[in-house]
Amino acid sequence: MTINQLQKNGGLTLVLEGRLDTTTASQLQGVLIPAFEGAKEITLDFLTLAYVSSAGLRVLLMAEKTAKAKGASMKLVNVPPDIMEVFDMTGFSAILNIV
Amino acid sequence: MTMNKGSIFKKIQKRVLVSSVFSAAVVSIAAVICMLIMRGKVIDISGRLGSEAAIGSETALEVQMEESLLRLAQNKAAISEEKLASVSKMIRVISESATEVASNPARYGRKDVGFPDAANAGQTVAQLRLPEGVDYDSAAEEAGLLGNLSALLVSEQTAQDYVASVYIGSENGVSISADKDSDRKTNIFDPRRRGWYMEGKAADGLIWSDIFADYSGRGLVITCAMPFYGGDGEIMGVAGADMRQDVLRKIVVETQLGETGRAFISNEHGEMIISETIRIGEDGSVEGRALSELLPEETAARIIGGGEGIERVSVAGESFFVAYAPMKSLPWSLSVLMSVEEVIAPAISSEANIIAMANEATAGIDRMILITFGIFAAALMLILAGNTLMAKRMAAALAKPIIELSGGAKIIGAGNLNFRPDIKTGDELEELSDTLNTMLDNIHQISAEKERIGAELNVAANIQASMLPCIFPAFPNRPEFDIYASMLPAKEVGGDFYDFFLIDENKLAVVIADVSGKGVPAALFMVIAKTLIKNNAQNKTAPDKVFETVNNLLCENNEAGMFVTAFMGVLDIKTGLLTYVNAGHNPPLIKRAGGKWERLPTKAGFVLAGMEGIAYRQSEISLDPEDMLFMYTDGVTEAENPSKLLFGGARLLGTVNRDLELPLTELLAGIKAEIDIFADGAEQADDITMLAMKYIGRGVSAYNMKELIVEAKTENLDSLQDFIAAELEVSGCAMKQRTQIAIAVEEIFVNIAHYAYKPGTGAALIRISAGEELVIEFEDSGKPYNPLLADEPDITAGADGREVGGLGIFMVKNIMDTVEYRHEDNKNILVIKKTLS
Repeated sequence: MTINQLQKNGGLTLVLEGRLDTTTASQLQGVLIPAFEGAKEITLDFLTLAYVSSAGLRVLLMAEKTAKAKGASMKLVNVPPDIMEVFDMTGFSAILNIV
Repeated sequence: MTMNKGSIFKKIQKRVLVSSVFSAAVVSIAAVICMLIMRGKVIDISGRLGSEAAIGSETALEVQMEESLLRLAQNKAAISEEKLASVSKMIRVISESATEVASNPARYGRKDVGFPDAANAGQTVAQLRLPEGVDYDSAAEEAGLLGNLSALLVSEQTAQDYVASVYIGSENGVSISADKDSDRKTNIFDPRRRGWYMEGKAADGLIWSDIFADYSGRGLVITCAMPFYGGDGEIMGVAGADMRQDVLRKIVVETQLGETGRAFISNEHGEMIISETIRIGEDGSVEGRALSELLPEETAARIIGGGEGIERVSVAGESFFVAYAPMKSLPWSLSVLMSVEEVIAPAISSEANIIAMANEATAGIDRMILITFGIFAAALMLILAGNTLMAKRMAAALAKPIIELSGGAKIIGAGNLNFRPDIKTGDELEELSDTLNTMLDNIHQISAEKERIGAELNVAANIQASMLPCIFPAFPNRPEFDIYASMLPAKEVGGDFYDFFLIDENKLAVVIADVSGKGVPAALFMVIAKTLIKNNAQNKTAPDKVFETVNNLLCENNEAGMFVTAFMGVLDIKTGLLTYVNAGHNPPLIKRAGGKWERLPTKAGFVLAGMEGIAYRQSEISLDPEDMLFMYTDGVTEAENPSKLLFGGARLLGTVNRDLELPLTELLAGIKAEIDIFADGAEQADDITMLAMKYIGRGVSAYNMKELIVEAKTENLDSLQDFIAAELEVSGCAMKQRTQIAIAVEEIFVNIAHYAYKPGTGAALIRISAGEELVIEFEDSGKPYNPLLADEPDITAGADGREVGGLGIFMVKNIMDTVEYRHEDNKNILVIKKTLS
């Protein structure tokens, strides 16, 4: 998985490409969680993300909890239908801010 | 008091008959005794007559036969002599002709004679032969001269069929022979060395040789020979003729001598010359000739001495007549031998004739006796018949109504309830008859009613039986399972039933049940129960819920207090998962592939229709291909034998485990046969209902699955995903499914990697088969752990309350059609399946 970071007027956008699975989840965790120290608004662009497993969900849940604790916000954009189905299945679509 | 039928006139009849039969019998016996005495006399007299006549005629025949036998011998001797004389006359002629030619060589021309040529075999030809060392040229002169005799030789040989050859031989060794045997000889022959030549020359006159084996292999011959002379009276050579002994014997001796008779000619030395006993021995010598071997010595001596006569002799223990007569011109005798038995045969046959006639006379007397018996028997019958008639008439008036009543009762007893005796005597008998008729009317009504009920019950039983599916194979288009069932009703209508049906194309329901009690109520209740179970099962609700609903419905209107024991299973045809529920029924038997039959563990539930509001608990078992299920009712285990012993569950298990390879039909038939043997003729008290089901599956097995073994570490996830992806690529399933399956694979593998071998590590085995249905098996030897038992995550909680534990397996369950876990051989095995599209 590759993560591209884009800074846009105080907001941070992470463009994820590839698979968010057990092997790559820690990579996202290492970038995303510390990012809340600086950014108040983080956008995750899933357009080129193919796949999310429970390891990925774990990072997303952790990020969501971190955001709330820090008074920041996180949103997901361009979620492909296959990944949307995983979110629906697990009830994550109710927790995450999916635009 | 019992009474013999018709005894009134029987008694009258008996008395009359006994006296008349007795007197008739006395007369008959006396007559028969007289005839038997007469018969004995006849046999005795005719026997004596027969044997006396036979002895007389035998003696007469013997005398007559002796005379004719002697005459026969004399005649034969004369005939033989004549034949032989014609031969000696022929030799004299040839000798004289040869003397003429030899004495006057100048008077005759030279006639060439050829050497034997096999091509001439079979026809009479004159052939020249010379001794060894004599060449043709030196002999040509004499050969040409003697050649003038060729025509004579040929014509003499042809004249008599018993003359085998006619020839001459000269002092110089030249020989000419006329015969048909050109193929039997060579050119080389020296007549001067032959017996006939030397004997003839020595005798200086006509000689008859003794019998000898022919030089040319023609069998036994006798030669007649005589020298011929030159002009100065000296012997120039010898002429001769060979006669075949066998042909001569046929002509001269063997004519009309009956069956045992034979004749032979013997010479002055007591040797037979012509006889059927003569033969050539192995060493070429002539055997079987001595007269003394055949006849007693004195008889032989008389024949040798030229005597004539007839005698009775014993040859080889048998009696023979021998008649003999000498020949006049030769020192030979002819004898005729004939069995005494044959001679007196006519006498014996005349004795037999007389005895046969006597026997015929005896048989005639026997016939007479039989006829007399017949006449007496007929007379007795007439007497009996007459008296019977008389007795009948006498008894008729009194006995008739009673007999009529008794006959009527008999007809009614035999089953004709419509018969009514009609007695109009105006007395107590008529009263009795009327009472009987009233009684009959009542019986008739009752039995008609009973018959109607019986017929209706039969119809009911037929309807009931026809409600059960009974066409097999029941699902010819479904190779995934096989099913067979049978219901053998007891005499009375019962309440057993079985059922099987497809709920949808992937679910097969099997039901077996037994309604309490018997008869029409049980049958009606069975119909209701069966219908309710099927209808509710087809709503696709789980088996436990089906039974709950059916139980409540059955309880609603159950005044009769009936109940049903029932078992139902629903088989997922794709996965083999059998979900089942038991309402107080006998637990079915299960046989795992390669294993033995055993009881299927069930969670016991209360009977259906027993009490409202009962909750039933269902169980699950995963069937593998070739696993079988056997369901039955207590008619099987409670079949009784005449000693009131029950067939029992142990005997059932023993029976089914005896042959584990039986097809379903034979399995059921075998159990029934075993029950029949056990029952030993005892009547079947309850319905015997059985249902057997075999899960065949889709043919997915470890054999056609691909395998990957990796160390259970998250670093290996990518290579596992590549392995799975490659298989899915081949199957051509949708991209979306591939992603979902990748998630499921990851979740399970990561689970194994994290927990199975903690804190160490170990191997994970992954098998995949991606056909119409995807099957993936995960196997590890780590700590036993069933992920399916983990608590389900609360997917509705807000972000704060959310935990990620258990989410992975939750996703797996959601994505896959089935997820099954088992612990086997210390291994955790998780099987996930999904239909690909």
